[in-house]
Amino acid sequence: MSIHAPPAALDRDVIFYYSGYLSQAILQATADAVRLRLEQDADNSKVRRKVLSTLIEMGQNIVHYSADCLTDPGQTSEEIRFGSITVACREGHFHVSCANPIEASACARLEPKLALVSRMSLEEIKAAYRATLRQDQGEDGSKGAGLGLLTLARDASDPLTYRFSDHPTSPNHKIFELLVTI
Amino acid sequence: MDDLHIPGTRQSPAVDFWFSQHRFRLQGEAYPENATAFFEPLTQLAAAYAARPSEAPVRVELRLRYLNSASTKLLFKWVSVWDRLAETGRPVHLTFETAPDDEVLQEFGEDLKTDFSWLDFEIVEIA
Repeated sequence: MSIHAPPAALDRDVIFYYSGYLSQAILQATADAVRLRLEQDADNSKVRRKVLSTLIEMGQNIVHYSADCLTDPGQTSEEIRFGSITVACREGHFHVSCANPIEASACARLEPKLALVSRMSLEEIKAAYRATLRQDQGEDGSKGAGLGLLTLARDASDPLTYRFSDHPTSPNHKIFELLVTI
Repeated sequence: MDDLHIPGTRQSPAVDFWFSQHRFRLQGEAYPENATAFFEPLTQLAAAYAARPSEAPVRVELRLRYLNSASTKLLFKWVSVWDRLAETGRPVHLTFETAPDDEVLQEFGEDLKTDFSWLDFEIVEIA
């Protein structure tokens, strides 16, 4: 089963679900709505911060890196790309997940980073986070896991879950899914 | 240098650089779509200011809330400009405000304080 299946209509566990073209403006409106809902659902302000941080990191990943791009792929502002995001709350945990198409060739670069981070303890995640923060080059040039991925791992209570599956129509693409439990 | 004032938005901090008063403040949330486009000019301005000879004490105020990963990395670079200035003997006082329940921002403040030891670095908890 997909870790990012669309939720059933009126699933009361689902706080937020979006599938479609995503922009920074849509993400900001989403963050505002989820923030308000969390103020009702989560007493713990630390948990609220982690859920919002995860939502924004995942959303910006889609806006910057999804292979399905509505705007000029060279453009670095006002980008619009395709992906989906779900925020659900079940049995006292928040589950934030995302899915988007990527170039099939990107799997070989992404998979080792995800595997590395998903095996790290919280201490190792924090140490890697500090080391990455101090690196001079941007995230794309870094050999480490990338600060965005380490931020997701730092906020998670369980190891990151991810998978790559076949794209329904394009052999040159894969669907990348990521789940963070908080 | 003319003072710089950029109003804050829900995704980018308010910027107030009072060059003539040697006072620099960033205030608010930071998760702009293109963090480099937002922070890089601020780092260049800080470096240009730091290159001018002066002995006046510098005050830097960070009143930040949520920072995304890209903004965190670029803010680290911005603070490094002030640390290098302090290393030349210039007094630089930096105030880093955090909410008492914001562990992530507190840890970031502690990281900055550890790395940038030339700064007179003060972490302040505000309600």
